[in-house]
Amino acid sequence: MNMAEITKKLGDLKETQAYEKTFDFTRSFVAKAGEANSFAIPITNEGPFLQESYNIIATKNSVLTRTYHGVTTTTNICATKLKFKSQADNSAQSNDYIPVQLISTPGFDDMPRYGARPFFHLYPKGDVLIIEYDNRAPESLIKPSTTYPTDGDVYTMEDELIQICFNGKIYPLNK
Amino acid sequence: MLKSFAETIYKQIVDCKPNRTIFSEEQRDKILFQAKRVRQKDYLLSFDLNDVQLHSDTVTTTANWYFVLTGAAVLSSEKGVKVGIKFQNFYPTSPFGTSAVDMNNVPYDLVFGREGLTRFEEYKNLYYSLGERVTVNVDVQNTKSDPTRIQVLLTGLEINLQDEGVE
Repeated sequence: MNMAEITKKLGDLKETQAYEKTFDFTRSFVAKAGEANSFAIPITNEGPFLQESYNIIATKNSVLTRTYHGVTTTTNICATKLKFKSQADNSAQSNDYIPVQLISTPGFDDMPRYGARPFFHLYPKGDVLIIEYDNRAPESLIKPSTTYPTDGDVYTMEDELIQICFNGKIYPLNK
Repeated sequence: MLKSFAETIYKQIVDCKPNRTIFSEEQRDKILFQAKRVRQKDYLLSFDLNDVQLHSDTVTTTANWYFVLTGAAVLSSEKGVKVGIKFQNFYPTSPFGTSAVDMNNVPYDLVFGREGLTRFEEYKNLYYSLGERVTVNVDVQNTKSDPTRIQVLLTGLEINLQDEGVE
């Protein structure tokens, strides 16, 4: 690539980013054990943010003690539930709190995720993202039966570190 | 028409490649104009299955927004659970190849992949153009006698065609 081509590419890049540029919007927070809470995060004032996907990773500090058919096992899990909301339209992006297990890293246990979860949403310029979390013990997935009356899930909730990266594009409006 | 419309604007907005052509101000404004009319939304349904009977629940999508189902995920402790999804008030049908009328629930291991005590992979072989304010029906059935709880996540695009003038 000669200097003229480099100059042209830089010019193209500058021109392109005047109207659109990729942006990773990252936030981390601690979901306190046994609590439900929310917090607001201002999104960049540079222009509207078009979210295309997100990645969520979370610690698995909580412990699930599961008794199934009389056999008890313990597993470290993250039982936090999340709900996202845009302050501008005051409309939640889900009808309920969604378990992190359903929307985060969909790989096998203890393996890194493959690919972000597509999730499309436009936040207007100056919008605020509201993240609500619920880190209280969820209901048991296992239910006791007549045959196995002691079956069930017991959650020992711990603080969880939730890290989210929203992937998308910013569309600067100052030009 | 709706499917075509969704594909057209959704792809234009989302399917941008690194080697795309440079946007102009007008193109940017058009993208933002269209993006205001497309958004994704999740719907979660939870079931307690204490017997082997078929259990149903419905969720109604947002008024004034068309809904296109693009994925589903299931979280359950029980491998024997079957899941069915159908749409009640717009092209009544099921994504799983059976009619809404005599639909047999599909073992969730078959469509959601890997078996396990918890299952959270999205099933993405869904693309349904649906109507405004759709009622989505989810059937679940526990084929074993062990009571369990199952959570089904429906995810999709909502599209607002108001003031759009789309034919």
